[in-house]
Amino acid sequence: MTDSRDAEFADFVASREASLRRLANLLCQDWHRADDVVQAAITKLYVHWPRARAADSIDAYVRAIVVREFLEERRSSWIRRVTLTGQLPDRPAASTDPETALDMQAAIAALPPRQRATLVLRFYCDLPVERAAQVLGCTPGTVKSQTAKALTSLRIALGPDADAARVGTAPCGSPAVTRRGGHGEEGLGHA
Amino acid sequence: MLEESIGKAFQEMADQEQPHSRISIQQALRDGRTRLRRRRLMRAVGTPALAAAAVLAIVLPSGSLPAGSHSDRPQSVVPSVTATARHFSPLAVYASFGWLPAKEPVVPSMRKDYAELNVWGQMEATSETYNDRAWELTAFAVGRCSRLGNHIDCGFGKSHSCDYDAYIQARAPAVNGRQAYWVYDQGTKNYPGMRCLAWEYRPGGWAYLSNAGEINPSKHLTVRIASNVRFGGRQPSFEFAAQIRKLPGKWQVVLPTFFIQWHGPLLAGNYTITDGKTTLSIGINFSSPKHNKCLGAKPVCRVINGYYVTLIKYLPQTRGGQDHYAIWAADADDAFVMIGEVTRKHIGLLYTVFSHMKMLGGVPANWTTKPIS
Repeated sequence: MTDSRDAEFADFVASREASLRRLANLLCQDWHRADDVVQAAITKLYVHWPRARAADSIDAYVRAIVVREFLEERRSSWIRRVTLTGQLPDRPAASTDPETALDMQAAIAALPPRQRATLVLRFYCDLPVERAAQVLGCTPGTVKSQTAKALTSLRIALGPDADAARVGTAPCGSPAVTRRGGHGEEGLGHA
Repeated sequence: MLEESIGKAFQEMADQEQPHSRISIQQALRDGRTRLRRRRLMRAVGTPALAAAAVLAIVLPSGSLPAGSHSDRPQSVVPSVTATARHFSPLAVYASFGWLPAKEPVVPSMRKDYAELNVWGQMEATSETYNDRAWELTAFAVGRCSRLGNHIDCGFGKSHSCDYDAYIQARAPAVNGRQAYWVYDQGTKNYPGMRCLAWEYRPGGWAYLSNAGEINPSKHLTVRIASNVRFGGRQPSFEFAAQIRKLPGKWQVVLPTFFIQWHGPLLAGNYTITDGKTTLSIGINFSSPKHNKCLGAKPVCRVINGYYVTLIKYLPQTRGGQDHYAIWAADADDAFVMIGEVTRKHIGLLYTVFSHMKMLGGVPANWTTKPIS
């Protein structure tokens, strides 16, 4: 029984590893920490595997674990938030995007973790307020206020160009990088 | 629209090439099985006794530790740093769980078993639980909160689920004879928010209790846990695995985060020191051994008091657009210390502090309750 459980779990994690790392990286803004968060999250997932399998969507279940693990991790050891390298690292490599994109990414990275998590759930995972509240373990009102605060911070950081239109949203939590069904999404157990 | 720009930015970040993964499914299987075994063990051997023992690790006074404990030295209780309800000390616990549900003991030596205390009067204790539902306790020093009608405002702090803009919804059963209320967090006028229990443990001193994993934890259970919370008295002090000696200026510890050791001292894993002008974070860790060696060449690495001290740049989430720096060094016991985070112009201060620091190793008997002497 354990063998089949382990095999099932391993198959699931292997198929979702890339998308979970992407999600964690958006939350953490750091691949090293993202891997730590995902590692801790999948360990919890294993412990709760029977409950996760019974959930309407395992993807939603594990996504909630990742988000909560990120928020929990932020509250613990200061040491673990530091990247240790053999040399003074430079700033993150610039992409080919316009300067505004870099500004946006930097502004997002500078947000408090809970606000950033709220934005990730709302605008990357495309979750409605109620679903985001379930994942974060708070009320819809808190999600709205966190979103509003985050948007205000971004507008201040980005200046007059903040509302320049750029089209596109991203999917979240599924193995393939395709847009999901949107708001008619799955239920969520306790992560 | 800004929302669309955010989505686009997330997409661009998500589309970046992923670096090599450090995730190990096999490790998750091993760790997960270990957790499951612990859980079964706790259930099998009579959880009330074990849970009580776990709690005792936090609250037992000097000389009361069970035989065979992690440290033979009695857990120190230092009267001089004992906090009062009006002024919490950064060097001693003020509030602690006296009882937790049998299936939710405080787990020994896990990284999430911690409590935070700050000089502004808030104390938070969180118990790691096997079912990932942590009870959160926040005590505010006397005078820090004000009540106006059904609104309790503690004015600061965001780490607790219900510690700001809390609204009284109903009376709760008295906690140790003191009036208590069910309160809900921000937005509760329109939404059923997270339920917390609030009570005045002293006149003018409020405490909150909630469960991070459940919006509406059992009322009976919540009241029972609250009734057993211990405030003040003979609480253990934090222990430090390093001591700063003869550092010029009036430095003091203001914000320790401690880790509960099984039947052992409350190791201050992280703490903050300040001289009133500059604030530094200090972290000491034994669980992630580093080697006493140099990473990189000068000026990234230098030798101070026989230790190789490496300068690192902080994560990209810099404050105000400035880069921040820290230093770390390890000793032969695989304890390593990190001091940070400062802007470039204060890097020299990191080295100065470390040059006055004596690392006390991994043996609790050598630790100290006086981090600055």
